[in-house]
Amino acid sequence: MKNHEDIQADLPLYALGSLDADERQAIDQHLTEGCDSCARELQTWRDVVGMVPLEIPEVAPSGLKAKLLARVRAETATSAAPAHRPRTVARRRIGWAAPFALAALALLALATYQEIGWRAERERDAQVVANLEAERTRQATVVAELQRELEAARGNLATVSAALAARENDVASLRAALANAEQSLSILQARGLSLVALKETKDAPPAAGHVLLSAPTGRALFYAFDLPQVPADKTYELWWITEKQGPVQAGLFQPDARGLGRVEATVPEDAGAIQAAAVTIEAAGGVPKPQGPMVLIGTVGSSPS
Amino acid sequence: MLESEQLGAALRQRDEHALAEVYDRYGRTVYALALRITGDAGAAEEISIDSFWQLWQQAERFDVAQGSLLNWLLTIARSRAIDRVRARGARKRVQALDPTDVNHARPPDEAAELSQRRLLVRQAMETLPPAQRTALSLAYYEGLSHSQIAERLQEPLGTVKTRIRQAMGVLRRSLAPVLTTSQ
Repeated sequence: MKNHEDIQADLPLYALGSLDADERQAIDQHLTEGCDSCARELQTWRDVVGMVPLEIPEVAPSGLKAKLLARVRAETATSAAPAHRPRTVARRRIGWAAPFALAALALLALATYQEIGWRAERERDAQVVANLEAERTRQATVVAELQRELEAARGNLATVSAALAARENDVASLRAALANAEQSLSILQARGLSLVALKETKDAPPAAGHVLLSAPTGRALFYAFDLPQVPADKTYELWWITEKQGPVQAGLFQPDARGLGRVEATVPEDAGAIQAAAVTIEAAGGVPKPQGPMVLIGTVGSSPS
Repeated sequence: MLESEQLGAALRQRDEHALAEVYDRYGRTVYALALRITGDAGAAEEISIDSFWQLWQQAERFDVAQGSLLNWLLTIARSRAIDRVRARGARKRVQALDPTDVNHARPPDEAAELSQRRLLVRQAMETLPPAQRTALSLAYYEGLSHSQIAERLQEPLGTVKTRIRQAMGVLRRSLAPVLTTSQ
């Protein structure tokens, strides 16, 4: 058996008509037993339920009112009430019962009555048209306002997207720079570091470079300065000039916009001592032995410039 | 403008103008509900006419203190529409609608009050989580019981009940301004 609180909790569901039969009966019984507070509460819930369909936009069907009123009039005409009989019957009765003058007067009165009716109808129509115009204008304003807001929102979105893309680029650049810095630092922190300074060759444009060479770790870091850009089908190639194998490939690079080139290289293990480092311009992709013009050279043991 | 009570009294005296007035006020709302439930313009039209006809026939039984005319009409239309859908067994797609023919502007006070209610209802509905709204719609527009909704949504019965209770609670709180004045 449900108590008052259970019943009260089910009242919204009862008002909505969605309870199953047994639950419904329990509430019916509670209400018949005369619980005033539940009865009042139920009325409020019914009012709430009654407003649910107000979420649906209104729809005005064509000609429905005329059909409804026609049905009402048909019913009235067939019912007994004489006051509601059709006007034609009344008019005919006047025609039979009274002199022509009276009939004419009645017709005049009818005409006047209709004229008044028509005038009122026209005024009502004009009012309706005015209301519709006002509503249309209001809605057009709302639409224009919404469009403006939409445009503004689109603009903001584009700005934010661009800013985000720029940030992502920044992050990627910073990560790359950090990796380079870490690499450089790890070489600098190793023992047995030697420095090879490179200068431009005789006919090459002024440039410079240096190699940080860490023999114990077998790693090296090369930087070039002020090197001009080479065409897309060319590349700069760094060489170790070794005691046993002559020139050995150390890496390819393209200088950046500032003329700065960078190569992380390893030191060949069984080529004997490194006597010098050099840079040549080669076909893109690099070559196993130098063929192109040499632009930088520096020998090991020479002091930094 | 006739107040609701005066309208009720005029209807009881079988005043055709009173019925026309009630139709002008609420015809579109009643029709929209019937159309929403049945998805069929022809059926919605019949249901609307039948609902107003029933009001006309039973006007002497209508008691303003028991709720508004609109509420009464919507209750009748909803029940007729749900019966119609059940009898048909399946719901048709909503058909394209004729453009409106508005014969009379509604009285401004009435229109303002009704549009305030509409606004409150829509705002409240928009705040409902989709699951609550779905459960409420199935109960209201399809006339399903909780166990039927639970079955349809493959959810526990208790969950469905809670969702509908919560949704109704939100609606009631949001509609409080108009509920207190209407009581």
